[in-house]
Amino acid sequence: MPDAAPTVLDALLGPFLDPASRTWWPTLLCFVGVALAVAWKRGTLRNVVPGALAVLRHPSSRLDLQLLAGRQLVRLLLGSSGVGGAWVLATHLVRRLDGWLGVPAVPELPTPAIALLYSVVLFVAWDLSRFVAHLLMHRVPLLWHFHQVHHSAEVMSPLTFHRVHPVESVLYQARGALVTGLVTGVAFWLWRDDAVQLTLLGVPAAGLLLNAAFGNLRHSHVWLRFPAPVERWFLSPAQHQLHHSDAPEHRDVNLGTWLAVWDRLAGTLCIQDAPPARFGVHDRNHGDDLLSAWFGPLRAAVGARGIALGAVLLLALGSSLAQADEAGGGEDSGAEDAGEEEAGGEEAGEEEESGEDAPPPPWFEPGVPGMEMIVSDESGTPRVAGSAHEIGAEVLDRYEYDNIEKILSQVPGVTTRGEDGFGLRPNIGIRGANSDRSAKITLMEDGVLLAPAPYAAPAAYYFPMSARMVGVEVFKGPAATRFGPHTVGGAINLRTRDVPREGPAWLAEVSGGNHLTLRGHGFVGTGDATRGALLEAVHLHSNGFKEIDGVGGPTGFDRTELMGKARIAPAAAHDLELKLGFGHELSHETYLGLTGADLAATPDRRYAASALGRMRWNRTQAELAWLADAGALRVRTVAYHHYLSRAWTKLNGFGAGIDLHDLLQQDPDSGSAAVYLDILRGVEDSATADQVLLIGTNDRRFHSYGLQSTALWSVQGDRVGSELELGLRLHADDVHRVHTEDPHDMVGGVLVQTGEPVETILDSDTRARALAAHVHDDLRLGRLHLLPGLRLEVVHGSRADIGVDPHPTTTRATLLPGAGALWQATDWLSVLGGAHRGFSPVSPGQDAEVRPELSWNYEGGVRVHPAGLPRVEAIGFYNDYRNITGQCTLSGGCSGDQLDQQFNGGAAEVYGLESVAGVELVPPGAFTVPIEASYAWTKSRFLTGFVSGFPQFGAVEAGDALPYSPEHQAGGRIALVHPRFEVGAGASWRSAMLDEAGLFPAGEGDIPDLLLLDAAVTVNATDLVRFTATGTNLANDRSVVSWRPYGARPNAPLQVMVGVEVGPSER
Amino acid sequence: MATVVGSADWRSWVALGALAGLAFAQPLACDRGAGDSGGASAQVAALLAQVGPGVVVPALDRAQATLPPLRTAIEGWQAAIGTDGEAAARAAAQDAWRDSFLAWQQVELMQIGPAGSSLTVVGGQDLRDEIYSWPTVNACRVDQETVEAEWDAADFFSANLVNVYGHDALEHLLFAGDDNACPGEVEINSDGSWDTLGADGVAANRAAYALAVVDQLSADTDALESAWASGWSDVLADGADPYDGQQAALNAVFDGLFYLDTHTKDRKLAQPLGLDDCAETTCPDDVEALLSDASLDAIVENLDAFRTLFTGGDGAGFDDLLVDAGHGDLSDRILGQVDTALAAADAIDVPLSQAVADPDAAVYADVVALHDAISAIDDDLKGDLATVLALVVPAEAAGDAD
Repeated sequence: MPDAAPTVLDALLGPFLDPASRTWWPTLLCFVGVALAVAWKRGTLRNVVPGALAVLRHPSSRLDLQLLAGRQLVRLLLGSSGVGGAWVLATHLVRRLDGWLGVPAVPELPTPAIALLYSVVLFVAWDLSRFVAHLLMHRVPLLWHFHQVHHSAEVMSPLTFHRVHPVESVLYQARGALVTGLVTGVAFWLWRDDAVQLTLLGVPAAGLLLNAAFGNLRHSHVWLRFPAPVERWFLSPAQHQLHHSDAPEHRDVNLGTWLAVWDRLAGTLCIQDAPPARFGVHDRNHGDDLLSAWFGPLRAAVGARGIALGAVLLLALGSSLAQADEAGGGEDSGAEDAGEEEAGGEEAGEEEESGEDAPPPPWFEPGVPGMEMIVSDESGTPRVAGSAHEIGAEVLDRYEYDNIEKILSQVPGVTTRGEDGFGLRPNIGIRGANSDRSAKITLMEDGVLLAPAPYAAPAAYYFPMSARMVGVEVFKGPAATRFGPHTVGGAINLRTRDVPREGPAWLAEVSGGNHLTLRGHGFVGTGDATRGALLEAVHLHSNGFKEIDGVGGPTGFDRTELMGKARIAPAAAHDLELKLGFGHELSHETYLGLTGADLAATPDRRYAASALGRMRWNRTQAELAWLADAGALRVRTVAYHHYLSRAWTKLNGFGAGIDLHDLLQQDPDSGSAAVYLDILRGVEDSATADQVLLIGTNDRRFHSYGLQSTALWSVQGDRVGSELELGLRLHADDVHRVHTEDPHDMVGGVLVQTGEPVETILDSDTRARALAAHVHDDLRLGRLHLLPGLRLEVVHGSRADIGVDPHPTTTRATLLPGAGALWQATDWLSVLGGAHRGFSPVSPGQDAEVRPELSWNYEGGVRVHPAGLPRVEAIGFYNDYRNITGQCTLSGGCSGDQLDQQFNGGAAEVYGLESVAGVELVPPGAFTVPIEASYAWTKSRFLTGFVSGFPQFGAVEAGDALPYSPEHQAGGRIALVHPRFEVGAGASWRSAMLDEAGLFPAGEGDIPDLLLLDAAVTVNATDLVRFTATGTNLANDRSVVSWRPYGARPNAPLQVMVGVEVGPSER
Repeated sequence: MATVVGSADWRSWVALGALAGLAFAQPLACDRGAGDSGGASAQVAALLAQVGPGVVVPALDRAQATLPPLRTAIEGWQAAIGTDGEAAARAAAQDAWRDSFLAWQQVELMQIGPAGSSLTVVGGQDLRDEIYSWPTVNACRVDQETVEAEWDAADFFSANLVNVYGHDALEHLLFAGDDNACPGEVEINSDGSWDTLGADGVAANRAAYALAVVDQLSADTDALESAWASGWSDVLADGADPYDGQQAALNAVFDGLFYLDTHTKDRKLAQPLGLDDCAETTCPDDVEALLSDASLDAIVENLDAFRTLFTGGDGAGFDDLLVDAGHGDLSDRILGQVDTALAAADAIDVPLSQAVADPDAAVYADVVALHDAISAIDDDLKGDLATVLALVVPAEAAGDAD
């Protein structure tokens, strides 16, 4: 049959390809590595190959192989039940216990603790049951006839593990099913879905780790002992080899698998210094061939006539032979000497802190030496231990970027998911951290958290206008632990203009372009060493590039931001600065996108159902900073208060609850779905309550306030120095949400209120109080910098929804260690590396089983900058997520009742390589030519399969890649700079992204790759007047950049701006 | 010590070769599908093999068999328009439609594979919507098409959306009164074309339109039956692509059972009862088949179809799986709850729209009892049945709309 061939091959190779098998190929590699290491240490390396060949050529090994192949083929022929024996037993037990005792009210335990407890109990139970079964195999003569097949091995290799008689396999599988069923049934009865095993690569972690470390050494000629005290608790490979000795006194010793306690209790523990002289048995009932090994024991056990009965028995029980390993969640069937399936047990997992994040205040004070976040040498090469990138005023000024997504596209490892084309509410992710509303990264302005409520509701619905920024800093490595609450991906700090210290400074600029895009920006300030003041304003208007079907309507926006700073230094050691800010936006934005076909045909189209989309917000900002400078000790303290009110009106969905994302992505042309699609387009009228369009207004008020202080104590000697940083922040934030839905009908392409009352669907208060502290040191030992750090985040959260039972109040504390090292090998070469705990907190009000996002992040790389040559940085990273999470936002495609819910994604890994290079050429004349390039390669994958309510996860299978995480990103910029003019050009490219967790290559419902070209020209007409022209997306490439929230969203089209700047200062 | 040594080794290799040969020749039904998490037992295979030929196709046959009598009855009405026998002929057509509609309500529950929504069902091709799209209906659009009279155009059914044909449109054509369902500003009213037709003209157009719809119903029912007979039955039985193995296919059948939860319980009962998604105290106008008062009978058919799908008709079903897994009591409980729900439906002796109108009326409590009886079935689907058979509850049924 056509499909049978691969199935046979799968069956034969299964024991080597299945991570649950002891002979999984990576564990075999581990075995080879250990064996070689032992041989090297003992000076017997040259004997390894001849010895291995002798073992493999031995008839005993041939029988090992035959028994393995025979077992696999029999399993394949007999198939297996869809309902595993252990599963049947477990479910039956649960139902019976429920019936007899009811659903138990057990003390609430953290999910990891339950998993740990369940895994440990299962592991111990498996180990004990194997010991008992093994003991019986040796003590009961009938069973010994079968078990001696395993013991007749005269040479041992990892394949000997599979050298088991089928009768023994059946018995062991039945044992495994029984133990797993009982333990799992009780655990599931107690904790329901929380009773899950700790796994690695989808298999029980303990089994996998023990297999990799020692499992295959047990059946080998590598005599490896544990220290004597350990061997009294854990059986070493050597002890198991003794068990295989042909010496009569060894036959019934060391019957356990992993734990030695059972042998100690039974008096069968044996510890010996010397390896056995020979392996094997003396009362052998079979030869070195398969048929003999199958039927010899049967003949010995039940006589010739019993062989037929035995064959029937084998067939009858065969299916359980095939399935019990699945049920046990452990290893393959092949019982080893007494059958060593893998354990269903688990290794003690890492204890999870009940932690939330707390933001540690990075301090930033441009112009104050020693207080910068990123210290660079004179060539611009960062001198920090960890990935850190800075985009300075020059670049920001040259390209006049108004879209933060454009700015960050040049930073390797930072990904953005477009939505409105303007970057009004950017979705930024770093190294796999989910990009939804930038909620997984720490965002700061001048070192102060800028998100509306960084703990209670981290989604960044407000983002500062890029036009008033003079620098953007990105931290991705261990340095991120200085800036919480989110350390899993990294931190971004936006630097605003400092108060002038050297007299007056001012600038006025206006520019305009297509789509009636107008920008006005200016600042004026003055100051000296003791005082100063600054006022800055920026306004941006655009009519938008989209057009609404039918009656049309506005699609553009207006944004205004004002910032004032006043500074006074009453004494040389003290500096006070007051910063006030105001922001306002009115934008006609929507959640509703298009079908793929409609976007391809008319990317600037908006459906009639989006006509009422409108976002309006106002923000105030007040910060008072005090810098105390006592020479070696400097302390910066900031009190801050931010307030944001916003209301976003947009289409939430249909009365029928149709998933708009799926509707638009799948673009049906038949069935009921096509009716709904045409209602969105305005070509079909609403006719029933199901077809009513629910126009939601999400009205929210955010407060964020606190006090943060950071002390820097610097002690520097010739060869040894220290910069110790201590930070403390007391922070509070809250969000009050009132969400309503106003039913509308689509009538003749126009949204018309149905007259039914506006319904309040959410009235909620969420609060968070946080204490964050961190200590970080830059310890210099000659050319070596050691940078240990530790953060503490203590978060108290609560949430109350009107009409809903109160959510439990939570208090979580988390310690986040990190350490880095930077070795300045030469003046032009430095090597760095580090590790830190990645963390993203649980928002208040989540279900108890929702866990914080936790990872261990590692990175290492080099920075090279030979004199006169390009500087290059290459850093590899590996983020090992213990639990990656998705947090539902409406913008991320979640439904209203999922808002702010977090979803566990389990274990995942993200790794890659990020590199940047730059050089500044100085050709003849007054020119300079700065060139920069960056490239990032990122791979990600979930390690377990699950089904998630978080739409971007969906039905995940182990190995699936993360959504919205491109594998490749590259960028480059080149400029020709002359005192009278500058000409710059840039390009950025990213590869395709997945809309939902899955496998590459990306398909139609995903996000294709995108190449964007930009250019900018500045002409310095006089010392005061400059003319500028910029173009973004020069090729006018249009593409789907996101399928979220609902449907395909295009990138912005070609945008050309021309303008004039007047003033002695540049941006 | 050893009795036999290596001389017989070649026989072992031959034995292994024979085993491999047997494995190669293994029937596909014994394959263990690649994503088949739980492994597929013979019972699962038998259940899956039964669904197409033993459950869905027979139900489609019964639905198809009702269409010729319906056509004949409509032709009788068409001929009688303007005569004294018009009312009786129309009533006969209405009765024939009711028979056909109720036969469809059996298939209605079985939205597995091609019948299902292309948005939410694995392998869904929206073929159910072509035959019956409720609650996606638009009576005004049907009236507009009645005036435009273009149903004989070759592309009429392909160019129009599902809300102007199918059983739902047919109900409107056969049961609606003389007035149309459109607001005054719609062209058929603003330009007077509806009035111009007059009562007999409207009736004549409706009868002609209905005949075209019945013909299309027959073609669409054939198409669905053909999809099952010509391949989908095997796809489901094998757990083949687009199913990820037999366990996934089993889950797709399990998903089909949840029609009883999301549609029968929530949409057909909870919403009219005012328990869910109803802005008023109760919403009697939201009942299914409002004009024909066939809504309660439709629920009975849904329950009967649930039992058929659950038991696999005369073949293997979930009941057998549960017995095999040692949970026969659960199967008995679920089937007992179906009987309870049918008895509750039988106790309601007025049309559903009347029964739900007054929350204080005794008959309202009877409807609530029917709702609760179905809810008990759903609880077992989401609870013990999903647990025992390692099935995943579909997302739309995971919460409880109550």
